[in-house]
Amino acid sequence: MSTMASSSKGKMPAAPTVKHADAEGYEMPWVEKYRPILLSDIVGNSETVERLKVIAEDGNVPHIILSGMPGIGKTTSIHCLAHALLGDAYKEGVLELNASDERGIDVVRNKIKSFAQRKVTLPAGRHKIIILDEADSMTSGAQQALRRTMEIYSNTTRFALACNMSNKIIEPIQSRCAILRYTKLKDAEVLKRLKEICEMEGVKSSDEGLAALIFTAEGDMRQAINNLQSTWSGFGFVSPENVFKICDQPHPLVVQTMIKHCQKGEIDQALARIDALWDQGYSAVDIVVTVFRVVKGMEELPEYTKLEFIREIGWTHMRILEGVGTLVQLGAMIARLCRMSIPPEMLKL
Amino acid sequence: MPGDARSSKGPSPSSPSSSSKTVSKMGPPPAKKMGSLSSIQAKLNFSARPSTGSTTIQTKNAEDRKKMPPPTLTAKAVPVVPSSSRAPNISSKSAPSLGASTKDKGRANDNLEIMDDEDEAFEATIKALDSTSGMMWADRYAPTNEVDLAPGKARLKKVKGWLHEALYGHPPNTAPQGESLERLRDKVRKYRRILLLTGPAGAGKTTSFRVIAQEMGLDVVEWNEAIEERSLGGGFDRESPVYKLTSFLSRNSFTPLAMTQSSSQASSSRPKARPRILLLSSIPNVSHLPTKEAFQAALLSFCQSYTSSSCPLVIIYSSVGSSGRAEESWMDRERGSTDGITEILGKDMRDGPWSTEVDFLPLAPSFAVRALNRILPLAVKSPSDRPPASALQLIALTCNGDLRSAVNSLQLLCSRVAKQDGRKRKRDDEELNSKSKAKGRGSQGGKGAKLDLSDQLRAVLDVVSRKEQSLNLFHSLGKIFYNKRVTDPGIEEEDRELYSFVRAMPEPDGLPSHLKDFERSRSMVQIEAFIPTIPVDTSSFALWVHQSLPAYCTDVDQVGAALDDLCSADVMRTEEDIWQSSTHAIAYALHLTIRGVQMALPSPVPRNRQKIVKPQFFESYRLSRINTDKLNYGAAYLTKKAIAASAKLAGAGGAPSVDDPPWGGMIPKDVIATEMLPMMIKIQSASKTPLLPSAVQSLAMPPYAMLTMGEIELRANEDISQELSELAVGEEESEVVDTSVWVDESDNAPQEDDALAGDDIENWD
Repeated sequence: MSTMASSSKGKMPAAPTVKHADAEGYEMPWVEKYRPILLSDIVGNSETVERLKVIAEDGNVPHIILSGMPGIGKTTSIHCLAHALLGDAYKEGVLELNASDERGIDVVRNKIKSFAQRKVTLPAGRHKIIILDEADSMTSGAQQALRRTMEIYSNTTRFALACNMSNKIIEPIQSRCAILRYTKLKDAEVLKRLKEICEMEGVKSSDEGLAALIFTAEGDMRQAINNLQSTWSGFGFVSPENVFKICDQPHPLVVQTMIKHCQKGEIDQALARIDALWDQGYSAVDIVVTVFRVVKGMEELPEYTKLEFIREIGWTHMRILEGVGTLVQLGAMIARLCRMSIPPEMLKL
Repeated sequence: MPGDARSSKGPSPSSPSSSSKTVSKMGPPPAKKMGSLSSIQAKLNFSARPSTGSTTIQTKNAEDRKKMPPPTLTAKAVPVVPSSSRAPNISSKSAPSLGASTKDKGRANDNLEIMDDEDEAFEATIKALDSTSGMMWADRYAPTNEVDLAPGKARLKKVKGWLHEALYGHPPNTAPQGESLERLRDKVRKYRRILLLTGPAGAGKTTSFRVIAQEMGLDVVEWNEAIEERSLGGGFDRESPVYKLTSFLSRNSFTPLAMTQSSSQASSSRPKARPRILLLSSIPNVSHLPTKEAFQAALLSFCQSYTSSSCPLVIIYSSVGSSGRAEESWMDRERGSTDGITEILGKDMRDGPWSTEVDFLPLAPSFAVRALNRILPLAVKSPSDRPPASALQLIALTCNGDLRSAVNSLQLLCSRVAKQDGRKRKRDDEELNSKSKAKGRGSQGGKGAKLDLSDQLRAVLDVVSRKEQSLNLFHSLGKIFYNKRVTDPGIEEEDRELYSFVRAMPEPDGLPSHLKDFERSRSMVQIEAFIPTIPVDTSSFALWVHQSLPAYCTDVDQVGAALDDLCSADVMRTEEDIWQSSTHAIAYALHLTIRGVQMALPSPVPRNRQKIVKPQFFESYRLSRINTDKLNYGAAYLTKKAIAASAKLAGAGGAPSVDDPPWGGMIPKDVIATEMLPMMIKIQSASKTPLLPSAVQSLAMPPYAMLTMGEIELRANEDISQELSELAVGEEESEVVDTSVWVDESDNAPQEDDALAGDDIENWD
């Protein structure tokens, strides 16, 4: 880890008390600052990364598709792979196109082709690499055009496509690529990385604070690191309260007690909690999302209760997304959750 | 290069010494580049290319080629074209090596005996291939003769037959007879204008066509969407791609010379100028309506402007939906993100008499194994480095009929095997052991269980070829359907680690008394850990669950309860945009699917060899779409008919003639479907006069019915001799038989546990 930090920036925090604002008054986002350069530094998905290492050793890259949720290291892996393959020629040998770049058919036809045709001196047996980030947002027309381009220039150029859903990539392209799936990062993996960064940046934190970061990030490393940085620069200490303030999410502990009340059928207490959250200014979507996350993770809920709770929460979420984000909907959800545990004869008139 | 490649089939082998002789006999390859206007000046370019000689030149040539991407042309004529982008020496050089590989398999071949005593030629081949190590295997070892092609023989024959008819006006192997021939030839050729090769990606469409074209000695002129040509004068900067395509078609649709004078001797002696075929493998952006219309108009005028010297067009199109691959999201298809070929070409074109479609099916595993076996000796020289045969079988099984991706997986696997030194191997072993433990495979019934394959290798393969695999899908589905719980008898034997882990978790709170019926012991499925391992998207997963669920239930109430939850899951995942885009919707749907089914299934689930079945949805959905298309077409036809008839009536001002009474009209679709069409088909098969456009007929008739499209067409025109129509029928019949065999194979492959039983693999010879 430390090797990576020194190799990337060559800058270790000399004084551990360096506060958030650097002397220049500008600080790089930690996400960029601590982005791995070596394949071995990538966190999580060890099997997939192992596979990339083999490819890097072999030198003969297939076209690849990396698919997975945001913030789990897809783009980072491609860049690491490109570094490993091309070394110094990285700058000339890589073309990256993002969804934010113009990327219609014309770009595929012209920009990509002219890059593919350009002559670049590379180590023997290596290829130029074209990285298409968020490839699933390309239109199918552009993908069709890409298919042909891939075929024609496969002698000199390899394509790496990163996408969230691999099924948004048309099949002829899938057929030409090796598909690498990235799974969500495990909490322990995120935690380890956060701790490393805390150490290097001299962030003061409590364990609960880091746990809160992990809860809010849900396996998304980028979000976890961003939240860490904002909490640290905003409050100077990473505690659960600060994290939830920064992330502006209802406190999961509050929600958890609320669910426990529901499980016991104590509707009044549960409603009081919802009212409190509502009064704090959280929107209905915020609340219902947190409720879902908490319910998913509650081990003490019996299987049946969990199933029914998730269904009710889902319905409510749907209504809220349809536009009725009101307290009434949340109250109704609570009422339905509570009714489940109240014996049916009590509900008879 | 082209002449050389052909020489390998000919009497003289392409050993270094004799190849120059061959080439000189054949003359320089008749390659030319179709520049924008002139085809003469470009010829100079190519004739300068060294015609194959010693290996050293070739290697150098290949290296040059590697550094320098191939020229982009608006269109290029590559005479024998293995692939327009392939370095020239590969095609020529892999031909002898193919001979060597067939030798390995003990298949006798013409060029074999020559190869036997020319080991050094083989060495040279290997060397030449080494210099191209930058290429993907799928390109590098693409087959160069027909024997090696993976798709089914009947399909290849059909393609070949079509090409022959389109060029020479009669099917291959039938001798032209009499003076009617000339007349006949144009009649046939007129309706052999466009050949559609469709099928899922990686089924071998392009490769097959190129190899066949090569063997028939055709010039293939391919349309490429090139970079915008910046004209020098700056007069017009951009031609739209469609415009370019249009001019491409009109410019190239005539063979310049030779074809016209090659009359009856066409089949016996090859004409001097080689016949030409146009190839369209990338299609313009048809999601843009004007482009689409222009494209279709271009094709139509191409078809209609037939003269005896024009040449046919081949369109290769990867159909996206039909492979039935599990991960394809049908919601996306419905939204039209991927157009079927019908929409692209337009109905008139597809159903018109000009075009013929040959649909390639996904490759059956045994065929894929055969292809992989061909490649492996070429790619990996020492047998000890080669992965075992069982690995190939597994790759073939998991590639879902996509040969290209199977070859890619093989390449990746081999690079991994080759790179393993002792240290690494050890580490891998550890990794693999831990992995197989963690996975806790309890899949006795799994497809892989029949394979003699070590766990380690399987794990390596899993890493290497982890596509959206059917194997993983069955694994996940099995986990749900077996619904294992801690109280199941004998459960702790199966996976102690997981068992103790689940045991150690805190006991959940009890349910209130009125819900005691729903009390379940703890599940062995850790849902949070399980969800990321599902290899398909939520909707497909729900489809699979839905299809196979009843077999695992013991009571209809259980099915009902599970279906309730599947219903809710389905509603959660509606296609409305606000909801669809949110990952939460997917999460809700998945949780409801999994948890609901687990709650509803009996515990323990009785095991009586239930099978997981492929969802019928894909097939039904496809059929319903086709039928809707046909119905619309039929309705439009009837309407048109009525309008024409009434116009005629108004024009003539008199009573309609007896032999052409007016009929048709605006008829609701359900009436057409249930009454009109079936009756009309009955009438026309009784009276032998066509009443309906041929495209609609299969709607109400089983596909094997007598009255095929070709026949109607021929009868209707009544100008093609009886033999030909009989021939056409014969073709159709043989094709039907063939299809049924294929459908069986491809259908069974994903679902049958015994698909990999030995006989399946062996019968490729």
